[in-house]
Amino acid sequence: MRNRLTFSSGGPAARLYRSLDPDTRSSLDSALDYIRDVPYPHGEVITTRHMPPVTVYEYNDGTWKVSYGLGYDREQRIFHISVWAIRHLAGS
Amino acid sequence: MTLGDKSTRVESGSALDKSDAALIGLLSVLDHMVSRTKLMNLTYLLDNLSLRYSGSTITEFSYRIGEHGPEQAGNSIVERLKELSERGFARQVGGGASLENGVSYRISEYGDEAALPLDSDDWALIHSVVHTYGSLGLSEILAECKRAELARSGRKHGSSRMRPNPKIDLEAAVHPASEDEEFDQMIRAALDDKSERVTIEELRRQIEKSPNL
Repeated sequence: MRNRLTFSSGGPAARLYRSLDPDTRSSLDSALDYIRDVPYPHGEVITTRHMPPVTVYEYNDGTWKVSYGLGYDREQRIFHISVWAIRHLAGS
Repeated sequence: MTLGDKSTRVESGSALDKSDAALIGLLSVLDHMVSRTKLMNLTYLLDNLSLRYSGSTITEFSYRIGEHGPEQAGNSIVERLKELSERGFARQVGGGASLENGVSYRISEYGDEAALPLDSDDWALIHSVVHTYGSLGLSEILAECKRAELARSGRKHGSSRMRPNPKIDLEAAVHPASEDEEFDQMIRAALDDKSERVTIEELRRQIEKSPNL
């Protein structure tokens, strides 16, 4: 079963996603698909930092910076990924 | 709480301490047979990663990296794995007198892993270690262990407890200076946002139906 990725329906991350042109949204989709498949820290791509009381997971590929939280569903063995903020760092 | 019939009965994972839970968590995510030596090295790398990201280790094992990996931790981890097998959380294969280095483990099909005393961040680190090192051969993992930086102090499970190597700038690793205050404010606002959540699939469907949203 695949990890679950969600946005706050009226939040800035969802608003940004909706506002993108198809090509830019496709670029962001690639980043989100990557996060969805491998949401945990590894290498320099996904790191964590603490903003008490939560751990912020941060994806940064030089084009997109995406911050999110992780919850682990122990029964289904999947992560619930809550996207909090997205920043477009460079043109794709 | 126990699970299974009389021959397979094991305790709930909640009966374990965090060091034992981390071993079972690694076996669970690996989900295949793994040699004891490789499992010990992966446990060391898990603690190293946890130390870097959170400032503390997940387990209370201690480590001294020798020619063949984290030696001192080995004794206590060996004892824990033996007991976990006896309690039904793991399955041991091999281990005869002439097979001292041939002992392997895999997760027991009767364990109650959902009850392990590990939080989501612990599981993320366990998945991270398995993703990064799980498919590597023993010599490659050993090289990674030797590159890792840990020290030790205290005692638990008959061995010393680990403390961070002073060479690691923990403050910088755990609380890196924010370079983007505006981005952090967006995160804080999102944490307070209790509105309905929408999956990425639903968001994509909405855009397909109404491209000018």
